[in-house]
Amino acid sequence: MAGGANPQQTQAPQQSGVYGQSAGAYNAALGGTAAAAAGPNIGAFMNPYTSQVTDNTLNSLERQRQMATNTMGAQATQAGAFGGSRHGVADSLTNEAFARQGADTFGQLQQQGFNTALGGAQNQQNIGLQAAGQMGNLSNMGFGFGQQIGQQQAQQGQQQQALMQGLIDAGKQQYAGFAGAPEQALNLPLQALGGAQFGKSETQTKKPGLFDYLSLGATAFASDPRLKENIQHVGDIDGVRFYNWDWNEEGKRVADVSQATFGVMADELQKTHPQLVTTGADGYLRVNYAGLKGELLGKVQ
Amino acid sequence: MSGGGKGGSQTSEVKIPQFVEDASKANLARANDISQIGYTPYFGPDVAAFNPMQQAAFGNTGQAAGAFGLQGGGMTGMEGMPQAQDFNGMMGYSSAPIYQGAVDQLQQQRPGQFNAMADQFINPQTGAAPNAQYDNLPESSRSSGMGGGK
Repeated sequence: MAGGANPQQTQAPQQSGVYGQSAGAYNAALGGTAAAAAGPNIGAFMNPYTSQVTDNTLNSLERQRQMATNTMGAQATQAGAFGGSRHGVADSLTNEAFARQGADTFGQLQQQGFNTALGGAQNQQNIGLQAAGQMGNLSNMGFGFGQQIGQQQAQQGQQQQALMQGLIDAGKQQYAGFAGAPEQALNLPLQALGGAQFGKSETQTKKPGLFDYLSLGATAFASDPRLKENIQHVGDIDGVRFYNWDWNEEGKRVADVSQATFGVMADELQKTHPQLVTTGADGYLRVNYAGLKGELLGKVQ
Repeated sequence: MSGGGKGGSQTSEVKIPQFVEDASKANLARANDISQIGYTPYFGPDVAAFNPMQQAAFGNTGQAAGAFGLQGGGMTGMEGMPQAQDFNGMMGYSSAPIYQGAVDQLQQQRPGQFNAMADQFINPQTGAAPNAQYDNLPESSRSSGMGGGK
């Protein structure tokens, strides 16, 4: 019995081309293999022996039996015993012998026919298997061709697409250059200004505070009230009075030019912190502001 | 306590040459104009379309599926794909319609936000000045260029 195609195969449309041929070969291989697996089809090879050889042989035996019966009838007539009991017995024995011979001959012919049919069917089965295998190989080959060509097409297509994508990206980059041109152009003057070596002047104005004075160092600074004018009281720290002033002419001569016009009156400080006040060679009082800083530091922080 | 306080104070004044000051002001005005240009969308292609060779490979795969009774038999591989556009002989896809659609949706669903953003920039069609004005912008940083600045 030949194996039928499965539902998917029957639904598969008939197609031309390598895939269609491959699928056809695949189906043929499948059907051939299924047919071979079903076993040899002996019946197809038996029929000719049964209907022709066996019948002919049995007909020949029947003719021989009739001839033998006729011969015995003629001999019985000559002996005047035709139709007698002896003639009947001999006739029966002849018929029985031919019947047995016919049966034996029929059996032998059937056996011979079966063996011949079996051989033929097995041979046919082998041929079918080989053909199915060959079809399977051809199907594989055709499918492989198709796959290989398809992969090459896809690969070539990808290369072409990559080329086009490269062009597109280049175009986008050009556009980005156009769209970004204003901002880019703005950067040029900025860069030029940033890199230009132009002169610039810097003016610094410093208004010193208390700590600036107290940090002047260990050197005693002139702070005698006789050197000052426009004296203004600005505040106290721990009982020590602080002032702003201007140097008078004598002050400008005695005091350091860098000395600030802010601090204490030496004569006042001498009353509360005599250790911080000294008298210079010129007779004017001087204040140790570094020492004063040490005295007041804890109180002003 | 007067006289600068405990720590005092210090001020510095740096004077730069006049030509540098003028150039800086001009650049500021230019930057102001540029800042009003707004976003300039790209309407060109972004992605290259599948070419005929690739489509042939897709079709062959569809034929193979069909020959063996598989799903997708007979498909060309281009089903469900948008139609590629011709950009001066370059077949490809552009994201511009997607971008425009998203902007339109924003304008429709959240017009307040859309207008707040759009008002920052010149009218992209006419080049008219932005609706949003900033009065505290120094006069020296404003120019009348580009048809959009004040």
